[in-house]
Amino acid sequence: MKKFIYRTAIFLTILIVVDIIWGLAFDKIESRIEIGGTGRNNYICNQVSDDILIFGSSRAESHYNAQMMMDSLGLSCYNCGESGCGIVLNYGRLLLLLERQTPKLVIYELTPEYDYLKGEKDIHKGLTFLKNYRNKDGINSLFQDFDRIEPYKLTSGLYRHNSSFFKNIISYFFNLSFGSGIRGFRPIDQPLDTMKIKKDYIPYDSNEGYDYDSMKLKYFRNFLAKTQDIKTIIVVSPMWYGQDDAVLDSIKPLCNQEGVFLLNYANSPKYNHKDQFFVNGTHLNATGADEFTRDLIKDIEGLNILHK
Amino acid sequence: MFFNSIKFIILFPLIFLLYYVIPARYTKVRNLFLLSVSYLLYIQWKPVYTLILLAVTVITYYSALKVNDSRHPKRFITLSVIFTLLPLLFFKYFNFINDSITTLLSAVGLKFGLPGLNWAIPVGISFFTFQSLGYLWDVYYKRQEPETDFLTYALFISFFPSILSGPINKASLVIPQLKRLRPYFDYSKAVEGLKMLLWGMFMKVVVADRLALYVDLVLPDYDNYTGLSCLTASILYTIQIYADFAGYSLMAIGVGKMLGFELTENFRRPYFATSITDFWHRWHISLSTWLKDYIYIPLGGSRCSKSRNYWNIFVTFAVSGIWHGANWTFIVWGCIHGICQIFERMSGLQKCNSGLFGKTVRIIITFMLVNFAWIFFRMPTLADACNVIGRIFDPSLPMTVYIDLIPNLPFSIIGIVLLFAKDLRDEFFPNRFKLLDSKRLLIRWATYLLLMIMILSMGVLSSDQFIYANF
Repeated sequence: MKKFIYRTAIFLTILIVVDIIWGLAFDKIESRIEIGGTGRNNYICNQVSDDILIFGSSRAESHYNAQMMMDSLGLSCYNCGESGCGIVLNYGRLLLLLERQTPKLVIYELTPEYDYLKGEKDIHKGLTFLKNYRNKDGINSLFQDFDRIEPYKLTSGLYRHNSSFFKNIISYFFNLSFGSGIRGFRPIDQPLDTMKIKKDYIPYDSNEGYDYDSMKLKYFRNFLAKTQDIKTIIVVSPMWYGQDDAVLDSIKPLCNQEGVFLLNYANSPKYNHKDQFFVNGTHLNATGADEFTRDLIKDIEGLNILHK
Repeated sequence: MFFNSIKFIILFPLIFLLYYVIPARYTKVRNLFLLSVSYLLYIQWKPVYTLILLAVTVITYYSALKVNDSRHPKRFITLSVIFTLLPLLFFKYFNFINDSITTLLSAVGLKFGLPGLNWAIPVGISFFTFQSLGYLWDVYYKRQEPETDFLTYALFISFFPSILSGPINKASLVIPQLKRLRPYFDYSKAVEGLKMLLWGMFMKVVVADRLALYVDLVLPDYDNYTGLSCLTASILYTIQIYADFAGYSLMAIGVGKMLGFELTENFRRPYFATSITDFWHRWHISLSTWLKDYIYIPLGGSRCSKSRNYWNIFVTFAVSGIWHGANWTFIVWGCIHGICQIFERMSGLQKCNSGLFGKTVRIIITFMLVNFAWIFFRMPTLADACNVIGRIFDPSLPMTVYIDLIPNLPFSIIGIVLLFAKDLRDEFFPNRFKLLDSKRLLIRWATYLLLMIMILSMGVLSSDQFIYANF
């Protein structure tokens, strides 16, 4: 028994040493990457200081042409949207951003399943982008809220860089990336894939009922509270399918309460079932994104909020 | 509690140390400790379901004691089996039977139906029910003495490494180990157990859970993917289910070994099988042995006419399908395996010797057949399974494959290649390329370390489900 415990202890010590070295090495590598998704995340969390900031999921990332907004509105703009991620990541990023600047306008692309309806995977994915900032104020509690022991697990270097080390090696040593976009905007330059269109499908059909996620709702409220002194617009960008607007019923009072504008383009006839604008049922292609950005700019100018 | 959960990783060393604190001569105290741990871990799922585990244990314990003293042992055992099966039938098959009867009656114009149940199935119910039934029949057929000590028997049924997803152990293997004086600590067995735990964990989190990311994306949404993507997903599911279940079994056996127990071997490189019959000698061995001993042989086995023998095979595999779940998809899956084995027996394929080329071809054909049957196993309805197969063979669909490039593709390839290499070595070169069992400490430890690094850096650590825990 003694021999077994002794040898196990030696093995665990070696593993811990490897783990520490691994963690230190990849922390350093990750923080130095300037290209691809990691570089984009580093830039958002450490450097972005633009006047207009766009938050949200892949629908934010690929629908808002930041350069076009910049040119039209005369203010600098950056698209901080992140594919597959919702309110938890966006709130975390907002906290990091507010430490160094106060933007003039925040646009939040609302995606119910990521922002206030149930679904766990998006939270987990979102938190992976914040691992390197786990010790910052407010960020640690995000991890704790998701899983009480997550902050302890994150002390392991191997765990911290789980699944990301390969991508980071490619980006850092071979300078290969999969695009960080133009001012964070990552358009999808593809025609509509008709196979991805489900027949007779209505997103967020109220007949199926909504299962709200209290944790996401909490962070959504926190997000609005943090942007109380900043002009904020919640936007639902166009969808090929359209959507059942009943899904917004619980969000509208929150927006009214916080004095936030809610612009809903989901059922806009200009876009619904118009194949030329979409890549699938919920994502605009590059043409659709440019067209939508033009419409949004007009509406922002119409609201006259930037000059109030 | 699953073996890849953080709770288990924290709790098991504690259980391990406390178990070995108890002196070896106090076998009963050691057993009592293991029984308490087993029930405490089981209670974590849903406390009230512990009563079902206890009820099945009590029924089979007393039935085994009384069955051979009874004036009508056959009637007595039938009644005992029905009582033992009741919770399983109720929790697992009630909705299926109810729906099937309702559909049948509505087809002839009669409206009848009971409200469906919306209760979770007690975890491991199929495993512990079958294990206790096996014991009961062994006692009835006088292959096993009835166990008089309730504590020993209760531990045999609820032993925590195997209660959730097997292996389905035979009483003749485990009960003697529980009763005899075990050595205080067996170093080589504990090391062997740790190695199994390590490789099982690799199979589960690096291979199975990584492949699940692709499979769970494509198959539930098959309408949105090409036939080639569906085919890729089905092949990956074939690997996933093996890595998931064999990995879990290996971990269960490993945990058992660390505590000084030998549990039933459950997998023997099934995808190197040269026929479906051979596949069932290698896949879920404890279940196929159970089906052979308690269904196939009592039906007459092969010591009867050819047609009766074919019928026996068919019934045995239909039961295997039903055991996996209350759904026609599982029954069809079982029937496909049964029909393939009948065909093999009729054609004499099983006994046919072939050279290296022939053997390779047979391995590939068997893999393809098994893969085809897994589609039924994976999909929620027969219509969905047929649609997936339809898409795979639809030439009008684009010949493109959806690829999730980073990080899933490289990690999946690394996992599959290492799993294949290990199985290839174990199957064809068992005495060569030893890494985990190398005589050189440096090689052995480097392998352990590499596996641990891969588990922690490439594994999908957020998954907390085992496919077979659903059965």
